[in-house]
Amino acid sequence: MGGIFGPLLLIGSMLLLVMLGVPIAYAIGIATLITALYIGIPLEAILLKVSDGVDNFSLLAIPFFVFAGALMAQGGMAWRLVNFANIFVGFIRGGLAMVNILASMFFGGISGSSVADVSSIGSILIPMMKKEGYDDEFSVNITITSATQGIVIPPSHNAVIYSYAAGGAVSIASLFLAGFIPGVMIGLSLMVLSFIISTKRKYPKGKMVPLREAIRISGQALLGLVTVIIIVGGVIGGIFTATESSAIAVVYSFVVTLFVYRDFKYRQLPGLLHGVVKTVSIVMILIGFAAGFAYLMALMQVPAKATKFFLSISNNKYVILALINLMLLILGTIMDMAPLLLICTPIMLPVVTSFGIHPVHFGIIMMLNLSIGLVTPPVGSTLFVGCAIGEVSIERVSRKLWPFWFAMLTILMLVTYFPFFAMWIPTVFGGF
Amino acid sequence: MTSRYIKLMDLLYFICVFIAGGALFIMSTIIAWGVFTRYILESGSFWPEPISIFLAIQLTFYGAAACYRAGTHISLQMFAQMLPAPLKRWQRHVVDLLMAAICLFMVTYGASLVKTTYFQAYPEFQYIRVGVAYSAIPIAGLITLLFVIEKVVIRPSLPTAKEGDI
Repeated sequence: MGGIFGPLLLIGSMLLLVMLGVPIAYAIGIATLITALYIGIPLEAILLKVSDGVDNFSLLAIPFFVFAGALMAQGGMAWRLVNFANIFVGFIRGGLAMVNILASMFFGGISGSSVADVSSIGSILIPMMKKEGYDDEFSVNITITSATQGIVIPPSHNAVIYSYAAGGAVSIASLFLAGFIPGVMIGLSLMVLSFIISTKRKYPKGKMVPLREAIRISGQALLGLVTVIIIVGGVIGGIFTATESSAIAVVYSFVVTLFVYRDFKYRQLPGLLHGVVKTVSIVMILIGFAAGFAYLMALMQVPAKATKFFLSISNNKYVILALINLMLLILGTIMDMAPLLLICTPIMLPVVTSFGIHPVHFGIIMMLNLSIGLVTPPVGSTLFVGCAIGEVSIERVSRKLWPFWFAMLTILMLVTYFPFFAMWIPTVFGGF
Repeated sequence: MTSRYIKLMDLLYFICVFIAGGALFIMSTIIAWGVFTRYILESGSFWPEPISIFLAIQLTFYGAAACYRAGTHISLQMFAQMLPAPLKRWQRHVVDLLMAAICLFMVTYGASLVKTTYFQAYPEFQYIRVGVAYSAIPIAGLITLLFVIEKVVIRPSLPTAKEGDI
């Protein structure tokens, strides 16, 4: 098990199967089985690891986050947040672009999924922006890049996946806290950029919302934003676990959308559950097979070998971080976030911790980095959804993506090389 | 015969979604109930956690089977699309064959796992046998295998998976 062929077989066969088009979860499972047969591990042991992978109470936060987000999205939260954001930034030059970014910042706190964000906020704002004279490509680009804020802004189900992939030793509460400033930094950088572009292209200004109207809109939106307080406050305050707080958020979202907003009807529940099942099951089965994969990696000492390999390249942590960032950026353009978090974390975390980088800081670096991949061709799920909603070709949008991409990359570099941005809030709250 | 098979697969798909959706709904309710009893009734319930773990296994495996038929599993199609047309057909066959292989693994080794753990009970909740929870692995594996057969033999146009993220 100490040789190099086993790890090469595991990772190489997984990559080959993924490139062949096998669903990623099953590709990970098949690669694990092939390698287990090669190194002589009983397949029963692999299946036990797969079942242990999903047999985990803390992981249930993932389906509940998605469920609560879907309830809020279908229950009319998206347009309420759009109206709420309009109060603060709608009157500025390029106001609708600003509203788009701010609404995504709020919505990210509820949903944590960039695809859900683009589907909800984008389907309201992209047509509106186009009607007001904003360029098609600009409208889509601002929507998809601002949607990535939700990946790091708490609560984020990707933080739960990272915490799990890191062996459960990284606190979810700390990851939630650490994601706040980087998420807001992405939003602010996009706001500055969109203001510059809007001024140059003379995009329209909106109107100030009258005070009475603003109070009414705020009341409705804040009722939904309480979900964020329940989840984040509950976890950070140590009142609930992440799983418990997300389950409470589901019940709360259900009550608010059904009885207060009244935009969600009982009869819509089966359809909503159908959609949520189709989203969460693919992640859960991925986690199951990734548990078997991680078990073999640990048996074959892949993390230790990876650390040795990186140390042979350089012993400078900034060089290593640059290399890892580059590798993640490339991988992120062709593969999605959840599988990459599950596969790369067990390999890379021991490498970066050996250089003194905090696991919470690295988690935020990984999430920020991989979120760039979601809007970057050739494979960017958020980009695809945005283009479909905006009815613009991927080629046209991608050609004008670079200023937004550059803004996100700048934030990634700042967060990577200045740990303060990620680690300040967790430190203030008393530890990791 | 063909239409009967498709109808049967429709029914199995519905059952999988029903079990997974029901599991998700029940889990979110009972965990919230657990918190309510702990903080409001001041007598914490012990059963929401083991039942939720039992339901999480059902959600994962039955949900994944349904996702296969719905073609919503995440995959990378970029390289496969670059292949010339004759190779593309072979690529699809190889993917289907590999899917069938992993389903057979789930059925065979899953059944063996159920047999081994059938008489074990969850320590926190004696009424649920571990083997019953794990029965989702071989059953969902078998259902996925039936979906693979449907795709290969009857409806080759069904997508295997999509590119995308949650």
